Amino acid sequence: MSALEKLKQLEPIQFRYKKELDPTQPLRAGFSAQQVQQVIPEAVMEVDGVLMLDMNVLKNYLRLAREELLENASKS
Amino acid sequence: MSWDWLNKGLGAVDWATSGKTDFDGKGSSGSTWWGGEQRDPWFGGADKTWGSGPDKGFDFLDAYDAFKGGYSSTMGAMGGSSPSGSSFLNAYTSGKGATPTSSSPVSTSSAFTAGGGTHSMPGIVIDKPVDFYAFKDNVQYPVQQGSSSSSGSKGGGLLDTVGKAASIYATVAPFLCDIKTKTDISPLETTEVNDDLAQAAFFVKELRECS
Repeated sequence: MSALEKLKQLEPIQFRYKKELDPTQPLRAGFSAQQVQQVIPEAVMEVDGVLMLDMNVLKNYLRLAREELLENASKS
Repeated sequence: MSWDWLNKGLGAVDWATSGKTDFDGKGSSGSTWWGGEQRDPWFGGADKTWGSGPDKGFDFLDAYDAFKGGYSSTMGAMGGSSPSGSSFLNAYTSGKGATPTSSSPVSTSSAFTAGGGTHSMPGIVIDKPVDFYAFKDNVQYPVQQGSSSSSGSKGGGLLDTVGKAASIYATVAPFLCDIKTKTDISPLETTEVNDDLAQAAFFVKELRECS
């Protein structure tokens, strides 16, 4: 499956971190690591049972998706 | 900088393709993601500048640099020995419990007391000296890739666990995305924080909605 297709399977969410982690609790945009793990497992790491998203991996997918978009645009 | 594009979730894909696509239906021009600026947060812009742009905000390494002197006696993996297993976040929380000797809302070069001594925090600007916290905007923990849970205590709660993650030095920039750390979750519509993760999320949102 291409990077573009994988990215399309991600489900963007808005959320707040729990108050114990972020007292000001601004509304944030992102993903659920659990959901990302199902689509792009290499983008998720686990530290002491907490899942974290490796932005370097995600950015690589974004770049690949961009290349696909450019390639598609050049064909059409 | 205006980030209406982000709040509206428009233009991200077209920006990424330099206008060669028209996902937002506004044509191939007029959809510059960063309001015409050269900075490119993901792919490297004309100025080859990476990062989150002017809204970069609080930075982990800046914070570390600021704190490593003051907390050298309690820092963990990044700051040398850690007799009691103190994590970086524990250092933060210790700081929250410390008594600042200055109530200035801006300067971080003022002295404060923590860990039995007086220390200084040079180099960064924050809103409140006693309100250092690990989840200021754009905090990205350096966590060693492939690190595992082999040595963690299970009784410290979420805060300790996250602190442990923050204390492991490495080269990647992870975001805390575990569903256990979040509340008030719903499908993406808007955000109050403009960071790399938000930009990626809106990019994906636009991909899903427009393709």
